[in-house]
Amino acid sequence: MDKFVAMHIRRTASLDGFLHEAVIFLLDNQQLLGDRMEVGIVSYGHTKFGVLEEDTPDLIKKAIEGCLNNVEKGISPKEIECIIVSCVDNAFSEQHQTGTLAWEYLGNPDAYGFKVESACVSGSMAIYQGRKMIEAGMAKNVLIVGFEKMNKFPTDKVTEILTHGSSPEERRYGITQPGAYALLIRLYAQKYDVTERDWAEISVKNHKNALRNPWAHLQKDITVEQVMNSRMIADPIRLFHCSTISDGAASILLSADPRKYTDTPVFIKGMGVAHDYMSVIDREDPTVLLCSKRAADQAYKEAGKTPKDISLAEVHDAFTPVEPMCYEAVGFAEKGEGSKLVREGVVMFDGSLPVNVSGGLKAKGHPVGATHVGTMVEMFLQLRGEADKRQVPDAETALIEGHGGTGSVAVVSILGR
Amino acid sequence: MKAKLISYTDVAVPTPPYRTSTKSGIVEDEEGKRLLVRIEDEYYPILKIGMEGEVEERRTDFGTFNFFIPAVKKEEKRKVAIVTGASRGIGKAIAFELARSGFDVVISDIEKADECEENMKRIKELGRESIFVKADVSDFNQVENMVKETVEKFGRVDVLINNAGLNIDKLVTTMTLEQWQKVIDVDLNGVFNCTKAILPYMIQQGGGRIVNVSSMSALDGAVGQANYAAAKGGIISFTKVIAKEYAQYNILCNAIAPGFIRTRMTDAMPPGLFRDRLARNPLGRRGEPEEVAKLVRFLVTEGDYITGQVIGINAGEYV
Repeated sequence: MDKFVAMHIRRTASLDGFLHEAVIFLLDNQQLLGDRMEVGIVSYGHTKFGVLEEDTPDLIKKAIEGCLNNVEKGISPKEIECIIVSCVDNAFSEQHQTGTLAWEYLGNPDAYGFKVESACVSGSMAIYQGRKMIEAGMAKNVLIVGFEKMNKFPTDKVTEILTHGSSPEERRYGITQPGAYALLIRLYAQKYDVTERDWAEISVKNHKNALRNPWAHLQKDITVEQVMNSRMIADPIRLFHCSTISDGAASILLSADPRKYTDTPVFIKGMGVAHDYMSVIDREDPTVLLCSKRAADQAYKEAGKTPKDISLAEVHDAFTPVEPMCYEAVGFAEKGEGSKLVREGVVMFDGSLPVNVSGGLKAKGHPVGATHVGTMVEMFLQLRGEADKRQVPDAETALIEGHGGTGSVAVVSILGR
Repeated sequence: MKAKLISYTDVAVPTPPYRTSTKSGIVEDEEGKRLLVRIEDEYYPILKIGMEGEVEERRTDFGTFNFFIPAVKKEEKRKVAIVTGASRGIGKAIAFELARSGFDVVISDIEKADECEENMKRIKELGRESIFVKADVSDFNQVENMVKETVEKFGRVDVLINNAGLNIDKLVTTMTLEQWQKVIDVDLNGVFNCTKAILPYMIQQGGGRIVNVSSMSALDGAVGQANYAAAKGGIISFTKVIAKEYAQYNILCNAIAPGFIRTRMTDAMPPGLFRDRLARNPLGRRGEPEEVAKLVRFLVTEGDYITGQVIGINAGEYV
């Protein structure tokens, strides 16, 4: 039974009774079906994140060229049927039709390109769609390009554009993205054991990690005191809790036949997508990132893994006080106990479960459309043992948690070799 | 509708259409339904999770919003003012007037004058606290220290009155470079130094009021005061910039331009010039420092919609 038959069975697995059970059994025990089609990552491109001279076209071009050049066994552009770009808001780049632009740079007239937007998790959503396309037999190779050119504008304009992703009612009340996160984390802090020092320690951790990452936007050590004394952005969120406004691009190449292009592909073992309400007040329990939890549940189930199997993770520290909530959502900690992982050093670079070794959104940078293509590149390198100074020893299974809005959409990915 | 506050924030970096910080929160009504609410600035310092209050709908320029009104009495908030050059004259009158309006007052001057202790005693008799901080406003380090001492003593600073100044009157042909520079250093650079030092604190605490004491000389080109008029004119331009740059933080900045006021400066005028000046004055008398102080008090306590303005107080001598 080949992989396409297996997929067909999965599609028609709405049968009742024994047949249904048999199909589920076979799908859950893929070795009986022969080679299961696992979508592999075979190459990557990545620009530095920061305040860059390059404009949108240059960023897209560099990310594509980098990815094509990094294919170890070589690839012709004609082998890539589709290119999906991830960009949160064309208002940053002042450029629409970025899918077509990417198509021009790819150099395959028969391919096609389009854009995916899903707030800060646009990059992961593009990867999710590319993977689904390959699984569905719609393409064999899909190139994902995430980019954002944010530094064309002053900070207040950037904040305004980012607020377009907020709930309409929060926005009407003048509640910006940091404002909505502030409401959320104050609720959390009221209910659970977390301190301003914990939040500061996370910022310090991610800055230290970024020192090992040449792509990182902010490469400077900071202190807990600096964080706790930095100016207030949206009480209790301070400047040094906030991720950066960055330019940058990243790309990955997904393939149905990864070993054709590299002997050491990284596989997306499981992926989940889920939503929650856009406004904090509408969520059942605003102290839980329910979308991330549901996405993680799906990803673990598909990958056949549990939180205990994870060697390292990148989570969505758009504002560092939310990082403990991410740990809880993906099962690294019990509800309300995320900050213990910081205090006990578990999530530090040399801890048993390093989180955001790239520097995270806080310090590596957050060019929103590129961010979660960038996290995928990070894990691709980590799992191949190619992450240089920031290499986590014995990295076997990696998790990426990304969420958009303040937790209205999430994608969680689990990767392995 | 009765409701309980469950979260709140103060967005210090607003996005359009808002230009100033917006304070908002989440409340739960008696049935556990959550609502977004706006919160007025004056209530923000006393907010506590679990606080009960009323939610009422109000129309604003940006639409109709729920407002949360805490069911507690507003606590009397400490108000703190720094007045530079406050040992005597207009500065001293401003210090007393602000104390009468409920401000604790930091009297700052380049030297501790003999009457300083008496001034502080008088402020204490008005029921307010007062300290003296020695500072040469032309020295940024001393000014930074003045603001730091104020915050250490009182925990906040709400008002800055940039009053310190001096004059060295000469025609330009006889004015030395040092005389030019000295007046610019104190009268103009001093205003920059004090404002620069205080802004971070005012931003942090959610607002403030700055009044810069300029002069009618800046407006009508007083003969013999090139240095003084240039500095006081510079203050006017500086005031307008500060007003535009920091309105978003609820920091309002205005200048006043006193005319012929009873001060040591006008006491020292040659009798002939004095008489000529009185003859030009529509009210036929000098203004009192206390009259200037009332204008300053109005600007800092009542002028919530006034910023970037230059307000003359000169009996119509310059219109």
